[in-house]
Amino acid sequence: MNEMTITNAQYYAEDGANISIQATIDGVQLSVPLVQGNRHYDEIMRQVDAGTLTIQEADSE
Amino acid sequence: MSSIIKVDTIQLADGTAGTIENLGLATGALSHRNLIINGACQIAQRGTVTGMTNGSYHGGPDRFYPYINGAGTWSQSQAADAPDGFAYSCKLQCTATGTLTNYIGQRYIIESNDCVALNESDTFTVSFWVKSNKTGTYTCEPYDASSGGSQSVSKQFTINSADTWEKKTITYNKNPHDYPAGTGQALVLHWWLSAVSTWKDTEPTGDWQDFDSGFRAYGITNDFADSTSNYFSITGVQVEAGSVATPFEHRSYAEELARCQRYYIRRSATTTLDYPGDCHGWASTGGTQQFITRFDTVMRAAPSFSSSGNFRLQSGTHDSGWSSTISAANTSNIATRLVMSDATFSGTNNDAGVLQAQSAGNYIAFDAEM
Repeated sequence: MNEMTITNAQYYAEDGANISIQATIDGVQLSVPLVQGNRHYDEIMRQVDAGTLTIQEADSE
Repeated sequence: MSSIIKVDTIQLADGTAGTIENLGLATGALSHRNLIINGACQIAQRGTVTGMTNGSYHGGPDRFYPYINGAGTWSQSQAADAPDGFAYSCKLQCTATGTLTNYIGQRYIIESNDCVALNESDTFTVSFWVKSNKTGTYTCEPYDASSGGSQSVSKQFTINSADTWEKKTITYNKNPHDYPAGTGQALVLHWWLSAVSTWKDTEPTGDWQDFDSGFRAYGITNDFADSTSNYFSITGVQVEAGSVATPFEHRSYAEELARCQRYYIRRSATTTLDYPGDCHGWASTGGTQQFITRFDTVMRAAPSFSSSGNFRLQSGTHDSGWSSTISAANTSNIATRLVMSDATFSGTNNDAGVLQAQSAGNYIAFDAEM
């Protein structure tokens, strides 16, 4: 019914591998695991697939 | 010594003849028949949420999840106002008026694993206590998320007296398909308070029907965005198999807390320099501190992590600096690793320590809501 408002989405990586997404979702800074079934991850991917959200690459280590 | 209780008839409190069905003993279990977690609003890990204007919000009693769009500004709290037999309710309160351009309602989502208990019955019954300053027509609409959201059923209820607790009971036919075991959404209850015509221009059949937004709030005329006196409180929420609303099944605080923690865990510092939870870690002179923590219960899914305030690794005489930058990694539904950045450390790499909060009220939280 309501779509989450997602901003500042960026991968967090260790040893060159992405392991979570940092994002502000409905005003809360969250660390989101890359796991289906997590409602934030599912919504991030839905918005990415819809072309309305882009996840920035992780900062170089 | 054994004994036998013999009765010729059963009489209900209103003087009419009772049956086993009336007593609620024919369907479902005597205990744990209520599919609602925190139906008595005992648990409120997040505290009051304010400033709700456009979105779906968690706050106030756990598991209650209002939906608001174009209906003013609202708060949700655990209120110490309840009918006899209860201590708390979930109170939605208008805090700033607005022009009603969409909707406002209360919501509860039941996990599919728990809805399997409905599969043996042709019906299920929703009962709850409700109170508002506005009398009139409301709807309670179970929505079947397990079918991809293609089916819904909406029935009306009426609040007859303003500012008075009233108990409502509504029985629905169960959607003919069985709910599957799983950790996703199955039955989603919506209590509609106000909506514009898009949501209420079609009369519902009273049974499950193909989803159409127009029947969801049919018959509602109240505008809850028109006054900061407007509120909607609910407690004693119960969903059970069968056509009879049995007395509310009270569960212990500890049991309800553990059930709520399947979906959300907040560990708060209660004092300055408190240790908010079981977070053991090790230090790095590179400014990154690591902690492993195990959740209080197995969560529904791998949770998202958030924190509020400053923390440090306390490691004997070489504490790290304070930092508010914490990320989660390697998260499963039983444990996670927290990575704290931007915290200086003058000790030795791999020194052991624990996560310590700088101030009371600082918290870490894990969210596996649906």
